[in-house]
Amino acid sequence: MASIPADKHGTGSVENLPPHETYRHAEHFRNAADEFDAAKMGVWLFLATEVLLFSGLFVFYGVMRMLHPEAFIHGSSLLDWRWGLFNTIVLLLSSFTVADAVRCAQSGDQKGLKRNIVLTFILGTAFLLIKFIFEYAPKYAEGKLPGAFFSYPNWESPYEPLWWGLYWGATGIHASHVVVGMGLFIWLYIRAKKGHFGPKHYTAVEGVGLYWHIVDIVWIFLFPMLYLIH
Amino acid sequence: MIVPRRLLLTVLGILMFFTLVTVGAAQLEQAIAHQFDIVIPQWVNVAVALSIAAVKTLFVMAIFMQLRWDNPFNSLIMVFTVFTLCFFLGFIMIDLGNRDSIYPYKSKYIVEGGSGNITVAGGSVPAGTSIAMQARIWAMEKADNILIKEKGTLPKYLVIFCSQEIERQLAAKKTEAEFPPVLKEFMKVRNQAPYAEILAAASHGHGKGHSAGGNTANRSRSRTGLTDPELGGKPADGHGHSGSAGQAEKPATAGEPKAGEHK
Amino acid sequence: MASITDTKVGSHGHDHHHDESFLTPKSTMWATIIDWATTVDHKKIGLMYLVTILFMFLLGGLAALAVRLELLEPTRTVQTMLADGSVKTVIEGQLFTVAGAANVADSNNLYNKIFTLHGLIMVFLVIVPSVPASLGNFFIPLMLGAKDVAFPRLNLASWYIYLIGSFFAIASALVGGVDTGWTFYTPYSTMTDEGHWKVVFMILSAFILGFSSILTGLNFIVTVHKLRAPGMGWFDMPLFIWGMYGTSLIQVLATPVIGITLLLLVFERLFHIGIFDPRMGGDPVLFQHFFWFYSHPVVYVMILPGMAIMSELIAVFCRKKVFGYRAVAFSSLAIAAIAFVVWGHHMFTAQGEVASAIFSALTFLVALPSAVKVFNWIATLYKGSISLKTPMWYALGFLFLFSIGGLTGLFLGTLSVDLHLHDTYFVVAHFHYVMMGGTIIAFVGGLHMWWPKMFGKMYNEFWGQIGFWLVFLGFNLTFFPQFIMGVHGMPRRYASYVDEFTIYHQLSTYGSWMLLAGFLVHLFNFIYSLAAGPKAPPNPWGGLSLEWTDADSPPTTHNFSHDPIVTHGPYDFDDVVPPQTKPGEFPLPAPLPAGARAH
Ligand code: HEM
Ligand SMILES: [Cu+2]
Repeated sequence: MASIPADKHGTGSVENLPPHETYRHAEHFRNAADEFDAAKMGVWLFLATEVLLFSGLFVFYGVMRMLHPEAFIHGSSLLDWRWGLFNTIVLLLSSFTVADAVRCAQSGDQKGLKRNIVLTFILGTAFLLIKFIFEYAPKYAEGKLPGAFFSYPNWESPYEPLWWGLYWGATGIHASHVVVGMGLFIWLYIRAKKGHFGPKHYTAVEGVGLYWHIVDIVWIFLFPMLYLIH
Repeated sequence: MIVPRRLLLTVLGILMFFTLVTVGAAQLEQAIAHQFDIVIPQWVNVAVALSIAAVKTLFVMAIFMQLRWDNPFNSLIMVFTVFTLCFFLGFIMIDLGNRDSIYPYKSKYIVEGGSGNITVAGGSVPAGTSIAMQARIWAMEKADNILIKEKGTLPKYLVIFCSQEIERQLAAKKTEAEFPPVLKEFMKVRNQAPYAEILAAASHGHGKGHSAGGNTANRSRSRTGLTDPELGGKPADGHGHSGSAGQAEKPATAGEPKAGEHK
Repeated sequence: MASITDTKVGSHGHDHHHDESFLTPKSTMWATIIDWATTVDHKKIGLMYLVTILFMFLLGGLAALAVRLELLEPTRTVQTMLADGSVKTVIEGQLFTVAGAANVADSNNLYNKIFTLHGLIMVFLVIVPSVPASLGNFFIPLMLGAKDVAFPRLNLASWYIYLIGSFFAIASALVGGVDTGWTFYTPYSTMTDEGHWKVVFMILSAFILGFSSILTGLNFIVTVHKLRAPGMGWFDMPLFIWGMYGTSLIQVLATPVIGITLLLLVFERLFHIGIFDPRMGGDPVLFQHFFWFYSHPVVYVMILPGMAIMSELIAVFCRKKVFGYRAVAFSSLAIAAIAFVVWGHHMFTAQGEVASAIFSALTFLVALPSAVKVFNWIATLYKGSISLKTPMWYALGFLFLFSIGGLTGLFLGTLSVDLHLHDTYFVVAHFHYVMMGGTIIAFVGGLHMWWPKMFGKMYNEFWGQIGFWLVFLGFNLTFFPQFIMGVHGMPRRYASYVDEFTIYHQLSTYGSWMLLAGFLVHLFNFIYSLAAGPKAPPNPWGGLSLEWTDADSPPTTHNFSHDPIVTHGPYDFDDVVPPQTKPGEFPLPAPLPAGARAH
């Protein structure tokens, strides 16, 4: 969106318009709507790959729970569902703020857009902080660690290292997605500040939003699977 | 399509509601099982939790992610994805759930020697020790360090460990004189300040949700019965484990991995 | 189809007058290099892929030749009583002992590493990206009448990711190589190699290459949906596009699974999380499930593009409408779908009997759409005006070889038969007949057909056909004996064998040399054509899809000098005189009896 031919927008001086007003779609697309649709379809395909990436962990869960229910039940009882619930609420709120950010971009509410991005970022941080301070750190200290690092003596089933492998693997991969998402929100904020997004062009907000929702959805499943079994 | 703020808020409310429902359902199920002393099959738990999660997902996808107004192909992508996932999970479960349905002896393949019996550590842990047993040896050493060498306070999980270990030793018909030093030391202090409360709380909370393997766990397939009984979470079944040696009296049934079970 | 008189595509006010060929170099060498390294032009990216893939094919091929050379002789221990009564022991037939390995065991380990390297390179670095990333990248936009793929920068990124992935593969080989086989089965992959890095590098390589594959697939799907020229409906697309579309669907849906599989494998390896370790309650066969859930669909990522090329080859060189267009198109999707539910046929000896029976039954389904395609191509040949140029020879070669490969697949899919054939050379022969006899043959055929379009130079037809016959005969000589020894029980992945198999192995090794000769002929033919070949006309074969009718040879930077408008189907040879050709150059096939040509 570097150089814009002045004649494109009539006589209005281009310099005074914010970038989102003067956005020009890439040349190989017929029009901006097509480009937006294409980008969105690309994001959805990417989300499909994300879901299938996590599918391996769901299979891990399903199979190992079938083979070693006692390990999973005891392992799960060592997690505190209240932190899980709290984090679920945090993520759901952030999902809302992201959806609202998209709405703000679509309706040209620049302030609301930035506010929502910041809020989402804060909620993401909160999620991670809770995860690290109240979940990972104590577990690390007590040796509730995956596989070879397992050193928690109060197990009830010798397969519990496997359970912790799943716990750390699944939540770890999920948390790394959250971290990536927060990086994306910083990027969005910078661009939003420069006025890149508005009713005519908000592809990136929408794309990152979709990504964030899928991260949320994964957690929607992980939460009952990990915390609420018995 | 610009989704109105009201709708977004409504969906948020619905999602919160279902989150509480899923927690509530889990608690309720446990309470019922406990109250009426019945065993609720595992799949109920799973089915309820997953259905609620699925409903929540539908809301997020339809409204937050705007699939409702979007190019139907994007919805189709997700449908394909879910299909793929189901095939993936489904067929693997069919296989692992039916390994023994034609030749019963094949049930052994998965867990024979599945004693957690792998050694990765060196140091004070004798070769052939399982990771699970190794955890106990390490815990003993750590407690020893804290209690005797550093004269510090044991963290909660080690307090519980020590008290359980005492039970295990007693069950193995060891006399107190035979206990490792740290347990002797622990027996002296266990009725004192921080420890007494911890133990009281633990014994109170313990046995409620998951007494001896949990209410539904023992409904697992028979093959779990093949698990090395020494390690199988039945601490009081007549065999104990001293802290440093002797837990490997019964060597792993399968020292070699059953590589691919090729014939 | 109705002629569309649509507006200009991409109606921006300004005109680019980039009418020169996309190959035109920049003023200085460095400018040219930087231009290529940062290009987002799908044609350049396609060519860069082509060159890297061919280079990898060379590496993989060298490994294959080494493997075949080792198998020229069985290992024999020859003991001779010397005059002084002592016994002299000589071990014969161990290529790698001669080549520097200290003893037999070392030599066998080296053998294992080399066939593993061969498999990994050929699967992950060559066949999976081969057609989509090179020819697909180049021709999908051209055939659709688009200026580029939907996400040009992602496209370039995918090439760099491919390079990084290959770097790790080569690094792994350089620091010692892995001997797990390309399948990474546990526990080989978790318990061998004390130093970790070789295996981890190799796993990392496959993991990274997966991203490249996903990006390509994702890009193509969106391109096909969004960038078709005005007037091109779904059923006006060339069948090449349908094939690539099916391929891309599999790439997007299956590749993430290998991603998580390899991730779990690395976790297992480095942290012993236990999922694949029976000693910790895991299950090594679970790894096979994970692996084949990706790797069976991926064999269709390999063959579908070959089939996609086939439809074009047959139509263009028979000058006839492809018989049963819709059936061929939908069979691509059917293959893509069924591919996901048959993976268990690789595990008949590993998984439980119940699953085996189900998978065996499902496996037969996948042969149906493949057969639909083969029969339709053969029906297309019927009364076509066949011109036996090199690409057409390759098309015929494909029909022959793929039929053998596919039919032997059915033997293997039969549970009871496979228990005998599993892990023998029969399997090796089967998959080489489909992968090499199918995909690579179609790839080389397509390369010949599109060479003039890509570079604007004609290759030499005579040498092209010499090359074909060397490849075709060499291929059969290499792999047909493997069927026979497989049935007789020669297991795969062994460095030695009993004497009875010697003749088959020797034939096979001679065949591999013939293959080498054939590929070298093609290589020199291509290089010569670039240097001194005659200039290619825009439509040398009289094709009707947009890359022939509307683009130059080689195409201009923006593909088309005007925005193409689709006025006829890609295979309407009966009704349309191919544009961009001399009148009378491509006569219609002889008329059929009345009513015989009802499509
Ligand atoms: C007509 C459809 C096909 C059927 C029914 C079929 C069936 C089979 C079966 C049952 C096996 C397992 C043999 C064993 O290990 O005992 C197998 C192996 C294999 N097939 Fe096919 N196949 C078909 C087409 C293809 C195609 C099109 C490709 C690739 C382009 C392919 C590539 C392979 C490979 C690479 C292996 C061996 C993998 C390994 O163990 O290393 N197959 N096939
Ligand atoms: Cu297969």
